[in-house]
Amino acid sequence: MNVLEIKNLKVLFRTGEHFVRAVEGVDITVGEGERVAIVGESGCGKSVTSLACMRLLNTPPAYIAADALRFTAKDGTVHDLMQKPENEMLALRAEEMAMIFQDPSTFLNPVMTIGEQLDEVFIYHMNMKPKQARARSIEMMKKVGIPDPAMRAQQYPHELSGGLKQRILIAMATSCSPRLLIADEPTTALDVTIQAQILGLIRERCEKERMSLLMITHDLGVVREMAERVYVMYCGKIVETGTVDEILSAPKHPYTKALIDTIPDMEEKVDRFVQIPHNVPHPMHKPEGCYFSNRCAYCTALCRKKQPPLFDRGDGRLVRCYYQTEELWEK
Amino acid sequence: MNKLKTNLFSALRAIGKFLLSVLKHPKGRLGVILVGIVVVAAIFAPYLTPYELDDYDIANGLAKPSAEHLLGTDKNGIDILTQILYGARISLIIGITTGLCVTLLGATLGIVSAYFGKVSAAVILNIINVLLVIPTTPLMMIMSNLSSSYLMMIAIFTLIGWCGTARMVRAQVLSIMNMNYIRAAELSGGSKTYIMFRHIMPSVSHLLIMNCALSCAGFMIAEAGLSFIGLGDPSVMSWGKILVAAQESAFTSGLWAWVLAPGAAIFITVFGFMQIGYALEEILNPKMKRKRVKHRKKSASPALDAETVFASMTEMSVEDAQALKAEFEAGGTNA
Amino acid sequence: MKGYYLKKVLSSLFVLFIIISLNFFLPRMIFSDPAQPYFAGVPEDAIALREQIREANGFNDPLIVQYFNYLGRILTLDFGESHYYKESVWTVMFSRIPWSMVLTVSSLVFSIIFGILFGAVAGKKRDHAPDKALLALSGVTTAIPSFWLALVCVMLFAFTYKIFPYRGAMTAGYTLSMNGVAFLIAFAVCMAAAITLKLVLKKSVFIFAGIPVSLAAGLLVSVPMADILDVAYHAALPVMIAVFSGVISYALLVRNSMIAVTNEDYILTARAKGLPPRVVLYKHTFRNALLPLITNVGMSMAGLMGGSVLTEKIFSWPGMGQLLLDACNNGDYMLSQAILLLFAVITVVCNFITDLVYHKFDPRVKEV
Repeated sequence: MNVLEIKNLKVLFRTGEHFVRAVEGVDITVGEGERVAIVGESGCGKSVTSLACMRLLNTPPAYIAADALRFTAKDGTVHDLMQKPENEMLALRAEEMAMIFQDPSTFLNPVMTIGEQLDEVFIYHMNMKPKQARARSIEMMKKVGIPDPAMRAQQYPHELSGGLKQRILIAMATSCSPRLLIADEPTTALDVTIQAQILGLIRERCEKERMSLLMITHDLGVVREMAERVYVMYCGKIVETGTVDEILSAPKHPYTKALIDTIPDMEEKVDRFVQIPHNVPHPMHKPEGCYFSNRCAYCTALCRKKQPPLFDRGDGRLVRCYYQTEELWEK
Repeated sequence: MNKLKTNLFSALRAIGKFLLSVLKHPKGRLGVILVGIVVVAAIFAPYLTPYELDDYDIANGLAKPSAEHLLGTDKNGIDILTQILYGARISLIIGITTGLCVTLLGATLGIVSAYFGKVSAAVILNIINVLLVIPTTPLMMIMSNLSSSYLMMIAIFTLIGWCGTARMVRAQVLSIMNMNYIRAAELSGGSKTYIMFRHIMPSVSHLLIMNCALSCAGFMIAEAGLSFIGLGDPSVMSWGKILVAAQESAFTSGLWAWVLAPGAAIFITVFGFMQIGYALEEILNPKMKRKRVKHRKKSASPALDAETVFASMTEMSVEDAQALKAEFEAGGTNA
Repeated sequence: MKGYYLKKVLSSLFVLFIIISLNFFLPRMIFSDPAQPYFAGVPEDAIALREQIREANGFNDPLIVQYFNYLGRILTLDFGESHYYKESVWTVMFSRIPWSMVLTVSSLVFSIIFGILFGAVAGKKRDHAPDKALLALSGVTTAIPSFWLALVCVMLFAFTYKIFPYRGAMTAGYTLSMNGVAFLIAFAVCMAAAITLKLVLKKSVFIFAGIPVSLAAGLLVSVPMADILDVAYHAALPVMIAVFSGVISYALLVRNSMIAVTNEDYILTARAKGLPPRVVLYKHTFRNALLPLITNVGMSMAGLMGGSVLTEKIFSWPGMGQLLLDACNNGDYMLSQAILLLFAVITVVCNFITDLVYHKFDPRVKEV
């Protein structure tokens, strides 16, 4: 059974009289208790996809369309997120689907204490009295490993370190033990040493509360650590999916391969790091054919002609490329 | 000599281009027209009206607006329109002079406080703190014992008014100095003065030019208010003084034009200067320039509907793609 | 924390010291003879008499001695005697301060309240009718001198239609009767209640709200209702005009900062928490958006004092501004310099209070 099912999700942003195509027909499913990752460079539409699932994009400037955007709640009822009125979405957020954000220092309200911000979830979702809520908040802070939670609850965000703030955000998101946790690059703004701790914490919370995880990241190391299944996104489209092991060991799309090749090898000393040539195309000026064609080492006239669809390569692997893996690596 | 000539020529052309861009901007055009009217009125006042400021005609005092006196007369029978035309002079002089002085002084001290060490910063900031709590109007009223001339008014306006500009400039300079590109310029060996003129001045100048226009407008209002409470040279006609006389006699006799016209004159001038200020901001600020370009495009292309864009986002089916690939491969081998 | 307050107190005191010194040197700059204010009514040629006055008031001492004497007098709150009113400066000022407070405090309070409301409505939905109305209004009202607006309103409402009185703070012949004891008792009772509430519920809001509420309660108890209504009737027009221009500028400020805060990341967090939109708006957006307003109110105090001169002149309001104007016209220097000092003190105190309030609402200490 799928917790989240996205079919053909499209998101547009209006700038002036033009539309920027941020997400162009994305299919994603997240199974129960499954940990799924979306990988891609910044600007490829992965954060927008997650915000669209939470219905947190403002219309205008954002416009959303999808064949299906379904969410299965804890009690088994299926919600059509596209049709849900905003007041019913409020109940789903935090209780059923919650989100952790990128930069803990800007995602906490600077003028409210940590405690006040955590209490809100209990007050508005569980109808608790402020005192009860505070007790629960402190309990939650303990669960995410914050030392001296009673004192920390009285403090303001600027008095906490980045790692602690991210723990607070995790506590906030998991406080109602939601069915699905969306983590939008949760470690990008943190020190490398803290990153491992936070990833471990997210994993631990997911396993304990039996939450599904949708992890959004640009870091293949994080993917290997956290996910079971991966979607690779490029320019608002999914270019490849598969299990983590398959994707990382045998990439079938040139973009995925290029991404993996850019990871420097610890053993080998190289003169020059591997790069993907050129930049991600501007969302207003994407190439005519395959969006990766202008950077692809294996690009042909066919690639420039028309955008390929997702080909099924068996074992649940979908690849957006005209060419079979053998054909490609031959070139 | 020739080089100087070409330099001068290109400078003139740049200035001309800049002025033209102000005129092309809708707000700028409106502002220039409004201020232009007032400037013309101030310069050609004696030719625009058959009356003088000392044409006493007490028998014809408190006259209602008529063909002879378009806005009526005051209680001494002096034409109100004449008073307003002459009053434009002092308003413009005070506004523009003070605006320029305040901007110059404020910019200098603001940059000095941000750029030249801690001591100067501490001194200037403390002076600003003191000036901010001194109420300008009362101080001016007390100082008017010394001299009631308009020069005094300009001096006091400048001495107190610079702190707002200085604070703004200081904040801007400090925020720019924290930018990485300034650090990069320092690391690549740029001298302090070079960075000052090459990097910092350009990003402050557009703020200053706008601020200058807006402070001109602000000081015109302030001048009118102070003239209204009786400060300033009593022998010089100003809009504030017309309103004092109007308050004394126009209310009871229902001479609306006498009350409305000077206010309208102040409004037109101030509004004009503000429009010029906003226009300059939009022309000179590179961040706002982009917006204007988009704005122009907007009118050119028809509005697109999100639905049509969604509908256009279709994908090829796998079968079609395979057929296309086969076609291309066949074409490739043929060639 | 303590260091922050100490620093603020010290800098406020420093500013006051500078202004007091300025007040000492001003007459020595303005007048050819600094003793001139004391010569009121003394003929030019009575040189012996003048010399006597100079000697009596210490003008023949060395400057530094005069300066310290002056500082001593200020510290003991001795401002000397007004030549025009033949009374001590304090007595003259005291009779005027409440009238000025009626105007300034009520215009400030109403401006802030309506400014916040208007700004919030406009900032909530960008490009909707209230927002467009605010932007259009602010573009025009900043160019209108408010004293001229006052004149037009007086002519319209007081002369043409006779809805409002055009001069004074009370109907001619009336004087305000105030029961000082009743005021003190009511004020003390309300303040005591506020302090107990604060101690019991541990929310300092009660102190902030307690002071104005107690003042209002004291006035209601000590002044007859008819008098209050009469003053309110006379104050209506000047207050409305001041509020009109105040509302627009505060609303614009609130609107701009609302729009800026709405795009902040933490608002997204609040929405992702599934909080109802009204909670996101009032608890998260609004609280942050009001911060710039607090600083702005503190900064606008000096301008408000100056503006009161114009309003009080137009409406012949018996307040400090009018008193200052009269003092300047009568050459009553002792009085005018005391008023200048009082204005500065009020501004410094208000700045200090807004600093405290700001600090209360924004825990991050900001160096300005």
